[in-house]
Amino acid sequence: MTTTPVILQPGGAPAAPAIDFETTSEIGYYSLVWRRFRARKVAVAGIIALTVLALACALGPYIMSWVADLRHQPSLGGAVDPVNAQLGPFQQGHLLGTDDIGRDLLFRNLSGGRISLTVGGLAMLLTIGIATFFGALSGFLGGIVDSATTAIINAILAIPSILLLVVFAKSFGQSIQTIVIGIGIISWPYTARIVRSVVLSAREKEFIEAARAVGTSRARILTRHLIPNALGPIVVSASLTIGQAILLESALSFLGQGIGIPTATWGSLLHDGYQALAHPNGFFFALWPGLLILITVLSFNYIGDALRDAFDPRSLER
Amino acid sequence: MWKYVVKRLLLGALTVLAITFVVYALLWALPEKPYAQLLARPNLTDADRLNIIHRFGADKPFLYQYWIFLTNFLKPFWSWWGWPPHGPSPPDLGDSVTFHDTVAHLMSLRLPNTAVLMGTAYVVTLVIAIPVGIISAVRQYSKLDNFVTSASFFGISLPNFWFGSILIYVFAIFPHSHGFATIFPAGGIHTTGLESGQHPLDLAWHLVLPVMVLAVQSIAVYARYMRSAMLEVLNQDYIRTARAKGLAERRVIGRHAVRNSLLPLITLMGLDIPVLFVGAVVTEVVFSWSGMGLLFDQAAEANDYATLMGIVLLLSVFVVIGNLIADIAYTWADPRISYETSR
Repeated sequence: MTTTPVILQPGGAPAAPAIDFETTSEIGYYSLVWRRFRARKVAVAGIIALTVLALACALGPYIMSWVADLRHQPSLGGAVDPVNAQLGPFQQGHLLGTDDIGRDLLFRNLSGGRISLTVGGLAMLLTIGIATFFGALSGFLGGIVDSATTAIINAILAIPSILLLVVFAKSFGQSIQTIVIGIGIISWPYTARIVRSVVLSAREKEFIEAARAVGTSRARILTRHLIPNALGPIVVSASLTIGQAILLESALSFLGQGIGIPTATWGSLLHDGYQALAHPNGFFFALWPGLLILITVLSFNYIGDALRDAFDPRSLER
Repeated sequence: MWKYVVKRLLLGALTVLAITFVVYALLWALPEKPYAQLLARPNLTDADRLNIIHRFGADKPFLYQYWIFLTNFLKPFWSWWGWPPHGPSPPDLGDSVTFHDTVAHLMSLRLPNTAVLMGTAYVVTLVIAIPVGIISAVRQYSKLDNFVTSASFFGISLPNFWFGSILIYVFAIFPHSHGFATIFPAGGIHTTGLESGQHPLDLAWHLVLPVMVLAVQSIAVYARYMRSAMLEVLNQDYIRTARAKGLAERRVIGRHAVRNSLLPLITLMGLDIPVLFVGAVVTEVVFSWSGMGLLFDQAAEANDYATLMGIVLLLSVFVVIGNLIADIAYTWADPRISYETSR
């Protein structure tokens, strides 16, 4: 709110600090959205946190593999000493400590974050794709398409997600692709419902009638008018979906049914940390990945919430 | 009304059928078979192997196997119609390879444990979330409201298995490793030796941490939901009328607003059953609480498909009935909604 720029009104006098962006005609819709979004400091902090985290996960492992020793191997008469392998934070140059077989936890967490964030992002793209397609079609066409989609949506919502994911991962292998597709199949109903309701209400509006009156084809009305109209809710649920996908993936990995070893994800690190909880220094092993998941999901949730208010200021007024 | 209920039940039966069919097909197609360990034993002749496969029914076509699964489950319900009526016998869901027990018996042992855990968590959630939601809606944008809003963001974003692990460390492992008694136990339902079910205090002591994990998350969801429902109601005309008539604010809120804003919560409770189960799986695994969630994890780990199918079946029945009850309760609580006219 401190960053609201002073905009000269047609009269020439500077406007009051609280500008009604709705009536300032010089600003486009998306810059309006951006301004409203920017006013939410937590959401901006979330974006910064996510950028830093994503960069660290993308570049960190490379840089670390050049400069740091990634493995702490105390030897005990030739063999690795299992008792002293696990270090606490800041011990012997390991910033976050090491895991129970001496691997550097900073490295493990960053490379795990790479997988977790990738899974979250890809699952979001898939979810949004399926949801927009089916949601828009069922809202636009109605009739049997709508009933069929609604029935499928209700059936998917009736099954606990983790149950389907576990069965899915067992059937098609514990790989990134499987997990992404599984999460996509589970989470699209939520977004599809939203898209459907937006399309359903926009379908009856005047601008669609106008488009129809000038002879626009149905496909064009759907892709150029109705779906763009639902863009706000889609972006919002995209942001929330990434957070949910990361949580789901980590829960699955925590149960040991996620992406298989030796690939680390935050969930599998947490699983190993949980197993090592009673070891000396084991607490930190479990602490870091959970903290990273919390920061990531919290950021996505804050961003999604701020986007919702930015796209639809009426939701603020209540 | 009855027409609606029957229609919903038929639709529900169809949903259960569809869900079990899909999951049965997925499990059937898995490369790891539940009888793999039996086949791997040494000194088996080919005839023995065929016999084992035959006993699991795996030599039959897929649809036939599914049919057997379904009819075995329905048989006891069917036999109640006979004369003289048979006593209620548990449905036959097959045998668990890993637990050496029938699936129905296994689930009947585990279900009460989950019910205790989830029931307590649910009560705690409602007792805390409803007042918190109401107060933060009435005092919108106050310090308390802002705190509740940001705290609920935290609750939603918290990975509950991590939260559970941290609680275990703080309340059990840390005190124990520093020579104190554990404040709360690290897991389990009873202290060893007190398993008879005659020690409610011991049970309550074991409940604290898992309930905390489950409740924090659902309080976050429910308080947010309650807050927005309450805000919606507070903006309606009849509330203005009530105020204009000069009713005390306490009465406006307590008598007029709260009652109506509780309504959407009923639907949420009905829809929440699958979500709650996910929480139960993870929480029960973290705290080794031997309920349905842990059973699911163990069965998945051991490729015990009969048990998995039993859990899927039971849950989908719960979901269908839960949603139906929620919808009927809604008409009962809100006379404006009626399924007679809307068909």
